[in-house]
Amino acid sequence: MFWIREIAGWILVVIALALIQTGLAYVTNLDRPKVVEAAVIMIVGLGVLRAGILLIRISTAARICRTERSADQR
Amino acid sequence: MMRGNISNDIGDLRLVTPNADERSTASQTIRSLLQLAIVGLLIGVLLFHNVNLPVSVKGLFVVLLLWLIGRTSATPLLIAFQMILFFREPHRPATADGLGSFVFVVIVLGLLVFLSRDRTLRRVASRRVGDLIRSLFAKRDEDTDAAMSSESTRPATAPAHQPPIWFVRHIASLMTCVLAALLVLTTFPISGGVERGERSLAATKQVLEPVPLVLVATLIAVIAAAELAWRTLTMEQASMYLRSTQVNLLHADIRLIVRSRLKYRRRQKRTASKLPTMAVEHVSSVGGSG
Repeated sequence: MFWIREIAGWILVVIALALIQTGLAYVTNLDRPKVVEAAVIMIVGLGVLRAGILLIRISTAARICRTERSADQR
Repeated sequence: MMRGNISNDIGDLRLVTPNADERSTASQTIRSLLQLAIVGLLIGVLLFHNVNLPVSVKGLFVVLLLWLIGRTSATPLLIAFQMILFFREPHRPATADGLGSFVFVVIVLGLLVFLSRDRTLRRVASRRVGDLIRSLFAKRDEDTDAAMSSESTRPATAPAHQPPIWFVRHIASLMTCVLAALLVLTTFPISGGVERGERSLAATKQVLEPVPLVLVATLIAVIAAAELAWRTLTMEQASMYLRSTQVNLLHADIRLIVRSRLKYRRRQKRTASKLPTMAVEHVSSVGGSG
């Protein structure tokens, strides 16, 4: 069960990185710079990144707890 | 008689006071101040070589740097560093190329690492001037001094039995970081013509083009390193993280109550630690007058 959460977390991280790259590309395009759009995309991207990292960390911590507890019970 | 009873009851309060181990002795403070001055001087000479700024401004920058090391985390320190580099850039010495620049950056960063890792120096840099002067004139027992200095002069991360391994590991990681930075700068060179208005739009575009890719690659590396480090958690740490996250996400009201209680306890501890110090002063003053 925790693996599903971890995979979901990594997928969110990948989506966030794609969003961040899109935002950066908007700003660095000197012909038609889209600063406002880039700011919106970056905020969304950072939010998604935070959520993804939280999911990964929670699932990793839960897995560590479960593994050690089951090793203790044996 | 009365004095003896009080002493027996309270014991040697200088030893049980929580702040006692935070205070350094006069000689240790002088030694730390000297070390701080030498490192500050070295950083100043290395960073402000060939920079057209008044000596007072250079001194202020060095003091700011030392203060930031003692008081804060890495972010303000990096901002201060950027400010120094901004003033340094137009007058960059010609010797700062190739191996020379590599050695220069390793020395400056090594000094900063030494400063931020040494607990005693950090403590001295973070203290108020009044406290420092007071500790310079403080009279302490020789035994306590020796015990405290042996405890507090030990660097935070240097195990006493393995100093060469610790040193080599730190130097190796420092050199790897500088080498990676050099590699990035050689792959994406930024010439110094931007501020003189010599660059065309096409050239600027060429410089900006790889920025999103490089930033995202850096982000991936940082996330990968952090997540790999996260996997080394012990069960206690993992369980504590899970509980705190659960409280954070689901029970904000409980979090508020716990935080206010912790704040209250901390305040209580602070007042309790002040009381024995006052009692020692009172006892010594009574002893002196008696």
